[in-house]
Amino acid sequence: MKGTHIGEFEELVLLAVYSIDGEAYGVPLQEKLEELLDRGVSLGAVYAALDRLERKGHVHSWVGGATGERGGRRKRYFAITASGVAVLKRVRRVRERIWREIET
Amino acid sequence: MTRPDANPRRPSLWARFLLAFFCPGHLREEVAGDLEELYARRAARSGARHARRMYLRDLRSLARLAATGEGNRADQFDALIAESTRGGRFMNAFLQDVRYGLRMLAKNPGFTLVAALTLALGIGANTAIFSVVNALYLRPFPVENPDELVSVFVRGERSPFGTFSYPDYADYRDGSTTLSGLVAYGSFAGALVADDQSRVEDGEIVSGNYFDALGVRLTRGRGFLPEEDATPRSHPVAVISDALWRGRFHADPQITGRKVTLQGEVFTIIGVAPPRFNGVVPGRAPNIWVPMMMQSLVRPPSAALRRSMGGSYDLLGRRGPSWLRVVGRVKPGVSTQQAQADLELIAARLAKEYEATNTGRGALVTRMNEGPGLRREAQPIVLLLSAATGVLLLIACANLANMLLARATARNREIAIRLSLGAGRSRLVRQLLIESVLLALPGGVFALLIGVWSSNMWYAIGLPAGIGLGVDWRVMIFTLALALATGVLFGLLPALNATRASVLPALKDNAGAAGGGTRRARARNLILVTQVALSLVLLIGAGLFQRSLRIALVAEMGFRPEGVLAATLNFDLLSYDEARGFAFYRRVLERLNTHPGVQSASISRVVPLSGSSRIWNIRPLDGPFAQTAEPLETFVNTISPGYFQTLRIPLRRGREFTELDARTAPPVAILSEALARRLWPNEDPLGKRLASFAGPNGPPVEVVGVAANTKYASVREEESGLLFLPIYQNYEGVVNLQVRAKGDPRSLVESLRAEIAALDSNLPLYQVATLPEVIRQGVSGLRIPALVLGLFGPLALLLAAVGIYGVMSYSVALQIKEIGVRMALGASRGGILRMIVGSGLRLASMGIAIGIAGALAATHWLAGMLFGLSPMDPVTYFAVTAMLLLVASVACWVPAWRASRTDPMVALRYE
Repeated sequence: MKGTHIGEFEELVLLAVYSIDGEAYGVPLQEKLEELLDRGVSLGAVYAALDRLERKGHVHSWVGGATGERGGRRKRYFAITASGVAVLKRVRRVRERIWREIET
Repeated sequence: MTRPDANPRRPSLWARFLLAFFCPGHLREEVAGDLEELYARRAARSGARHARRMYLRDLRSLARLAATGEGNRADQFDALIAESTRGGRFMNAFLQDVRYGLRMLAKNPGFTLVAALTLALGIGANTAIFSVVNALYLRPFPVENPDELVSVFVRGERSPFGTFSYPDYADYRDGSTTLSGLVAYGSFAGALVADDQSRVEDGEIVSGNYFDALGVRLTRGRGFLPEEDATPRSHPVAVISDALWRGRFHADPQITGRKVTLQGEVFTIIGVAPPRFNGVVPGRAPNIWVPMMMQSLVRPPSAALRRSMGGSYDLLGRRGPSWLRVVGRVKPGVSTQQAQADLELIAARLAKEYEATNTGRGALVTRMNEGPGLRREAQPIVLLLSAATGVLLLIACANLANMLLARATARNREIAIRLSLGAGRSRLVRQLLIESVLLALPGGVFALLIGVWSSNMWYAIGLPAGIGLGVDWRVMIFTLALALATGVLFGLLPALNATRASVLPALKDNAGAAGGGTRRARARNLILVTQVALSLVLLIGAGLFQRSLRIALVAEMGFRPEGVLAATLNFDLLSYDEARGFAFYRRVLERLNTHPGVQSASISRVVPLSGSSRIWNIRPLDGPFAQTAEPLETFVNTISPGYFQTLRIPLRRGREFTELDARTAPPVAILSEALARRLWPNEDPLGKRLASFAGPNGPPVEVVGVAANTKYASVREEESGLLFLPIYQNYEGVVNLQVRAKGDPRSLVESLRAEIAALDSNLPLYQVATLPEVIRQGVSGLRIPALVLGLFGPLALLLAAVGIYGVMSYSVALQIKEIGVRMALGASRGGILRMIVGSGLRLASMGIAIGIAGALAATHWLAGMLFGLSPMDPVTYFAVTAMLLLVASVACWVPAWRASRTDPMVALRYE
């Protein structure tokens, strides 16, 4: 799947990354999505979306330092890239235009 | 109720294992961290069960991520989960079973406790024996490549396991082509003075290559250098054991270079051996190692040997006296046979070169410690005790199987309901097996505690401290595996039996129990008979050893050990010469004989029945043996005046030794009756002569007395010849004191020490013990089995009694209605009693009959271990059978009596 197009779930994950920018890793992302969507979201789904987003260049990730809890295992942090922000804004513009057409 | 997943902060091991298998590799660390964090949060928020479910869900979703060439990992994941649960969730099902099992056990705390204790004793006994097996036979020596080590002996005419002289050892070491190293060692008693305290320590005098060739890395300092083992008496250095370093030297960090006094000379400590290294002889634990070149100082030859060597103290230059034990390391790939052939060549060469000393000496190479020694001596006892503990555990299993069978009947309805609801039989069997394993596991943990505690017991009953008992990983694995196997063993039959119940009658009412019950009753009876039979075998074994020991201890030893205190004095350690030694003998005997608590005191070279002995060749100058060139061997003891009086040995003819039998007087000897009869049958032995022991030109030795026969080397020996020589004519540097007390000999220990110290405060007094104690050590081959089996026998009896009682109570409870009917129809109480006791005793008698047959078959291999009675000793068989019958009667009578007291009306209404 080439290109910059993103699916609906990817959009939501990207939004979640954007909204908790700086501290976004698996656990808070998964919890944020469950809270927003009010349904169960599996960790695998989250990682699958992040994986695709990263390949499209909308997020980038890095591994943090060793942690004190969770058995000392490190965290993989995600942050949105400029193209990610751009794609979110474009999607939002599309949607807003459509809504306006509906409501007028 | 305990949860198996008591720690809600971490997912279970099983789940983490799945993770390692299914998670995409590049994400593993971060994802695992996330999963664990999520688990902890969810567990805190909504409980471990929820957290676990979500964990598995997340894990499955991750597995889908890891699409690989072999297909979708999620499918594999699903398949695995499905396969292990047959549609359910495996972990849940398993944990359910465990939880259910725990609940059932908690419901019957009495049963659980009795079962766990029974198992703890049964398994614990096995752990205790196994810890000995482990220490003696399984644990490798803490040296480099222990498999390469071999024991090497001089194969001579008297024994295939002879010792080496130093020159012979050196020739083997330098001449061998198959060995990469050959070390020699000899033991000595070392008078070690440190911090102004003198104590005798076990020491070994060793070849200079000892630590290097064995591959022992010292924890401090260094081993011996080549130059330290090149010139006699030039380098007084010593390596000490870790135990000595921690004990007497308080783990002094500056230990190397420290000066101590050993045998009166200053030695420098140069190294400390690693903690687990106790030399290469199982059961011994030397504390000091000294290089061979210090021999003449540290380990002087006995005074008798010195006399035959013209007063020399040096053994290193002589091929005659052999005194060294030898251990070799074969080169990689060399077999013991090859090494043997190699060394035989050297032996043949030496025999040609040194005809006078080496004729008839061959070489023998065996795997490590297959020669004489603790390993070999202990083997029959260890085997016997292992068999006994195995039987004990079987009895315990039988007991539990019976209890479980009885309980299975009580649970009939529960099982029937579960079967009818569609539970698979295998699932139910698994459930019941899990319960029995759950019972066995705490037994295993208890057993480990018994194993830890048992080392003290072993040491107390005479196992040498040097064998280093203890619970290591081998003992742990053995115990836990045994606990698991036991759980399956005693659980399987009841489990299979219980689940065979037909559903319908069991659901209808309890009467069904009687239908399905006949088979079950048969199983119970079978187990009971087996149990009685096994108990009888064990009891007979215990009885045989107890009786044997008693016979051995009151056996006609020819002397009276009670009330005598013995102790060792070593003048060689302080380089006494003969004149000083003789003076000391006189003064110490004088002082002791006038001590108010002492009846009489004496000195001898050998304490009879202490395990040490001396055998010499003698040559009579008169009588039938005067012409034969064949050497005549006899036991020898060198004694002071007062010896016969102190040990209460009757003098049959002639006179005792006196102080006048000194160096200046003509040499004299006293014979035992057996020796006198052997040398001069039908003749008066008094005045007969033996060739001198001092050399070919010495004056002949005249027989002046005949003493009653006494046991000397072993209680088992038949009338053996024994020759007594006066100690004032035959100086000994290492002697034993015997003191007959007026009261308790133990109360004399302090005054004995004081008397010795008053004469020479540097002279160490050691091996202080009463004579009966010394003799008991000598019969440990009887004593240890007698003690251990003496413990097991009553235990087996108790288990059998509990078993009989349980089965009888249970069958009475089942027959209560029938009993009620009988009583209502006019059966007397006595009749009921007879009926029930009779049926119980019928079973017990069957067990006893089988047990006697089994014991007759099993005990004949005890013949060589027993003393003074046959393994078919009718007294033992009769007494044990009677005892078992009596116990069985009581165990049957109690439930029978209770049944006969029941009110028939109550019994009839009983549901």
